[in-house]
Amino acid sequence: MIITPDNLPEDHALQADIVIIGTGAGGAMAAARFASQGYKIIMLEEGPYVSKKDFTQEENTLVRKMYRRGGALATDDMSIRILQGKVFGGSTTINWMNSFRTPDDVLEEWSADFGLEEYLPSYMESHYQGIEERMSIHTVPEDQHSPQNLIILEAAEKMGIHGEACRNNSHGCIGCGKCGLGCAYDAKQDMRLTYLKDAQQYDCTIFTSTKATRIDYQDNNNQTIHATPQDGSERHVTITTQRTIVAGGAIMTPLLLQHSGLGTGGIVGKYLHLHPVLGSVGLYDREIYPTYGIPMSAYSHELKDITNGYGVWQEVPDLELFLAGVNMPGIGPRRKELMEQANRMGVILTLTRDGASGKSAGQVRWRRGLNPQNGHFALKKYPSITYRLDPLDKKHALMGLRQAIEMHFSAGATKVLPMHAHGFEITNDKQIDAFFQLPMGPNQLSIFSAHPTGSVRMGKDPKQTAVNECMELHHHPGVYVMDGSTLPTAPGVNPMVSILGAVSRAIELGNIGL
Amino acid sequence: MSFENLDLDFLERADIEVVLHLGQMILGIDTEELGPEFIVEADAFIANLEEFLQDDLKQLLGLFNSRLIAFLLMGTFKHFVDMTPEQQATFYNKWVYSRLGLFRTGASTLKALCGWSYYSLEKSWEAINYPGKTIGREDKTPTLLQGKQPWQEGMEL
Repeated sequence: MIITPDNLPEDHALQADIVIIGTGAGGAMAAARFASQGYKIIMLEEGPYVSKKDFTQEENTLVRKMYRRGGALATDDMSIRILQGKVFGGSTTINWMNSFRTPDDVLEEWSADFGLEEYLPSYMESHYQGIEERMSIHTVPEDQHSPQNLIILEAAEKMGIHGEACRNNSHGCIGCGKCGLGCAYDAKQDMRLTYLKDAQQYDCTIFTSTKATRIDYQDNNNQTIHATPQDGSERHVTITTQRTIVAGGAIMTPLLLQHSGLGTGGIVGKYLHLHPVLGSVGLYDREIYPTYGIPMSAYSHELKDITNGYGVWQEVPDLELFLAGVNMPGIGPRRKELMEQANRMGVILTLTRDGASGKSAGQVRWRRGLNPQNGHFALKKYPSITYRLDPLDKKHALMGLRQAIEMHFSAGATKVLPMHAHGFEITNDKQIDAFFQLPMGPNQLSIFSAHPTGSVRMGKDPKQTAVNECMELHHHPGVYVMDGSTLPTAPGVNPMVSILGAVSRAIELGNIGL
Repeated sequence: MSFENLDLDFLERADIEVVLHLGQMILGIDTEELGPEFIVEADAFIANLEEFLQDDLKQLLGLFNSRLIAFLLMGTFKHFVDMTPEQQATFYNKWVYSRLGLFRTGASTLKALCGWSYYSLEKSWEAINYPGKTIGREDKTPTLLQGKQPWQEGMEL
């Protein structure tokens, strides 16, 4: 059953066996599994309920409605913009469908470095198979690559480097290219159409537009969840429960835990990974239309292992105009001229598997600061995301950007403009070197992310990790975290299936103890 | 729609002028072409942010138009809105390439605000060769399955 603020029941004091906060990949998987085992489930989703009829392809209204902070979420210094869903189905509702398993070498790293031998490839196989079947995950057929994706495949062939089709979770996709605005054709098999649908066949009530504000932890069998409908009213919902699963994603989950006093151990919020993305725009003599076609149907991972399994991979986006408007390089008439050639533009995204040096890359936390209000200064608490690109990760990212520029030219681009504030135009090899002489600091090189992970990481050692192999908080039994924040390291692939697989395995291991 | 009496939640009269000049300088599109819709969209974008960010943006717009900052960076006591287009671009680039991260953050924020506010408006699409939505006109989608047209009117989707 779906509850919106409009049909919120009179009785706001509720009871459940398990409360799940968040309806993205992790929360949906948990809901489907536990609901089918006969538990009474209540889910809380901060974002609105949406269905096919809401996906009107209108960017200005849909991005504000379905993205966290209306699409403007970023690190404190604005140097990395973070795209994250705040909607029924979480980021799976607005993602670009890429559906890769966690690579075996990453699972082996988790085993070696975090004691997670339970997640070795042989144990994960059946979980991935089940997920792939439920979500119609398949390799994109050869004849369905858009012109923009063909840039990757053509370049790979000419350069003699890796290039192949991606896998995605779609059924009957026509390639409208508006995945980021929700699928108007219900072709994308996101959480709404799969695991949340499964959960609703049982005793699972989903409160949408209702934000969990605090978890009062009494003991491992008693927690009270406080929530507020997001309709501007003063109403309040409280739910008493035996188990709490936090699945708000790698930004919101640590903030909620910290606010609830569950961030003990000093780990919660640290080790944020982002898979930082650099972009490069190629201008072609032929029509590309980057705003249409199946996004990310091809990729190249030639540079996936530059240092100890860490490196970069290349994909192409579903280039929604708000993204183009924000990230296109340069200013003034030259920028206008570039935008006017949007139909001949191809964009390659260079994604970096961050964390190569093993150091903490970023952090999510509450900060206090003085804010001027009505002529006075008020001490306010506000959410903070900090992230500095580690020198080794930056080196990898720039190597990847150089490769992307070369790929554009191999595929026939006449001019390449990396997404940098300068608006530098590259038309020959010498200019590639000149470009890399520009300042490459924060807010000079344009960076964004759609893959925050790792801020409540999983492992056996309570001194280094926040949750155990069953995704239960080391210091607060009864409270679980089941989302991308638990991934011990950046997975090095688009993370949806990694999250689903890890949560599925954690549930099998722990079975929540009720 | 005129710039007078716009129904705005956040931007005030002085802010409107700054945002228009920013739009013109960053996007290369004159203020008339940007139009009141650009301001309405920018206002809606800001109004959607948390209060602490709205406060930050308010201060940022003020700082960007501050004569003191212009003097420190450019040696002129002009407001940003009173500078020539060349001076405005130079001033903006001083922010972009400043050693102080705060300036770079400001420049990046303003660029995002302008880029988002204009190119998410339907009126901007024709000039950039963006054919628009596919709903109800699927057969006209330019890259549908690599140029093939498997969708036909009446086909179940």
